[in-house]
Amino acid sequence: MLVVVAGPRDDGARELAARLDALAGPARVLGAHDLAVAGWSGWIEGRPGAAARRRGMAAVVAGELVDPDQLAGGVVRTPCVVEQDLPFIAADDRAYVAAEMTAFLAWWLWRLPCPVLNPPTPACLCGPGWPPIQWVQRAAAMGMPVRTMRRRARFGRSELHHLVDSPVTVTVVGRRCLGDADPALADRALRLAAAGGAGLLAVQFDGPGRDARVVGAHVWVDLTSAEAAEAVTAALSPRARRRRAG
Amino acid sequence: MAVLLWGLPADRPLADAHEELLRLGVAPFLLDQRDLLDTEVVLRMGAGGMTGWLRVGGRRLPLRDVTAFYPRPYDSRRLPAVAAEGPASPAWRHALAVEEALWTFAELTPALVVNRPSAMVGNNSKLWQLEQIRAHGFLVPPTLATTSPDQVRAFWAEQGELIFKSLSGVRSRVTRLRPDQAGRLDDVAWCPTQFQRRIKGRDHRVHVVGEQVFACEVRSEADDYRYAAHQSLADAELRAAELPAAVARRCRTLAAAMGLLVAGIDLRRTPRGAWYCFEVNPSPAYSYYEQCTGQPICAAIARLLATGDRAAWSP
Repeated sequence: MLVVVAGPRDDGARELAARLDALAGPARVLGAHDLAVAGWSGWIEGRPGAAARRRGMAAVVAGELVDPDQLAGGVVRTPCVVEQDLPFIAADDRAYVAAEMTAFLAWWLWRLPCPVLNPPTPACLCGPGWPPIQWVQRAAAMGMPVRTMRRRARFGRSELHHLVDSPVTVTVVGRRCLGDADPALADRALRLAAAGGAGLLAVQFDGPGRDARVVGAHVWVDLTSAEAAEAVTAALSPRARRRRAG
Repeated sequence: MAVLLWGLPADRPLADAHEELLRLGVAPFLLDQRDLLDTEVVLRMGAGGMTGWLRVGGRRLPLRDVTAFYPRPYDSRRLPAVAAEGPASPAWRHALAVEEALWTFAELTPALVVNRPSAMVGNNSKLWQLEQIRAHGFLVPPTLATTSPDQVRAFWAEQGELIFKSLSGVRSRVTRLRPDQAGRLDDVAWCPTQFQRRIKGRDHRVHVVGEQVFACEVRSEADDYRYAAHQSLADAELRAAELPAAVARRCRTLAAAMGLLVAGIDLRRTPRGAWYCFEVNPSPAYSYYEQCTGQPICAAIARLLATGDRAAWSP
């Protein structure tokens, strides 16, 4: 089974799950409501070096009790559980429960033996959680041409990012880029994604040509196309897992 | 060359660090959170790296001049001037923008930072952090995180006494699971909850500051010594302690591996002499321990900030 971890309003996640289901076998969406059902468990042994204890590890996906060994891969499309995801929790408790669910899920996804795109971190369930300016810094440090980004926080006059009006986006899924990006840009996007430990990354450039500069990147990748679903399937395939393990 | 402090002047660790820096002859740039609405931050990132500046009222600080940064902010949205305006107000958006800009600066600046956000986030997931602690050779309590009441009952029967506490960075009180709470176990189905075997022994809070280690022994009968009054017990007694060399070394290694220049590590020594580690606090409120033990923790932090020499302090 493949799981797509998503918020309740993420229609794209449901679309992706439907495509994965058709391409690669059962795929289900895992939402915050699944974390409010009896059945989840995970252990940490006390002794250093002791093998992770697998007995009793379990998850609940789309209402179904699942053994982690049944999971072939995961795609994470949400940075965290938020209060708005939890209308079934008492209002006063939602902020706390959201934080607890996020903390648990970060660890649980990290512990999974199967590949997860993107691997979670304590900062963000769907990857490194870097702001665009940090991707620009990393790109510059790797010798890539970058466009200067400006971030200003001033009362009443904050500018989030100083981006070009219509950036060209190169989308990385696993070890390939979607679409027909210039090979030089695709190469930069793949290297930047690898540097950030992200199997899913949208890298933005200020033009389509080989001399285009990096203007930002983010992990909120559009995976609604058939091509994206095929790329995700390939990235989570047993062959990809063997390559990763090797 | 400047040392930047960010937080509320009433925050004791920040105030103590400020005073200690002045004593060392370093005049830090104190960014008082109460001046939020009059604070402006500009960051520029390009091929030449990061530049920018910080302005508060008439004071302006080029960020390239910052050699050390000690961020200890409270949630800006709780500041009276922001909370009164409410979510989505210009004040609220400005608070988030300033926080994001300063945390981005903290992450990306080549200056010494106590501590970088990427090093502190491990505290957001206690289980994640516990795995790191265990990987560095410390004993940790057998731990179950679950939404299954049956799993809790089985774990309780297997491990004997249990405690429960938060999984996230939200501060919570460590509480012993008592028989009269058995009827409430079905509530765990609503939210994953962390249970651990209760380890008997003597608590030790260890502050690591660069290469220096300050250990404090805590005598208390409470499940969580910080909240002894909640159990109608006497306040904890704290005194300076010496750690076995191997344990002190492990604390230094653990903090360094987590990327923390300053850390508060919670240990417990069992009657048989085994050392368990529960948590690592990446922004410890050290002043309480310093006041009780007389250990020069603040002086060590101030010297670290004043030198701004990260390499000299990296084990």
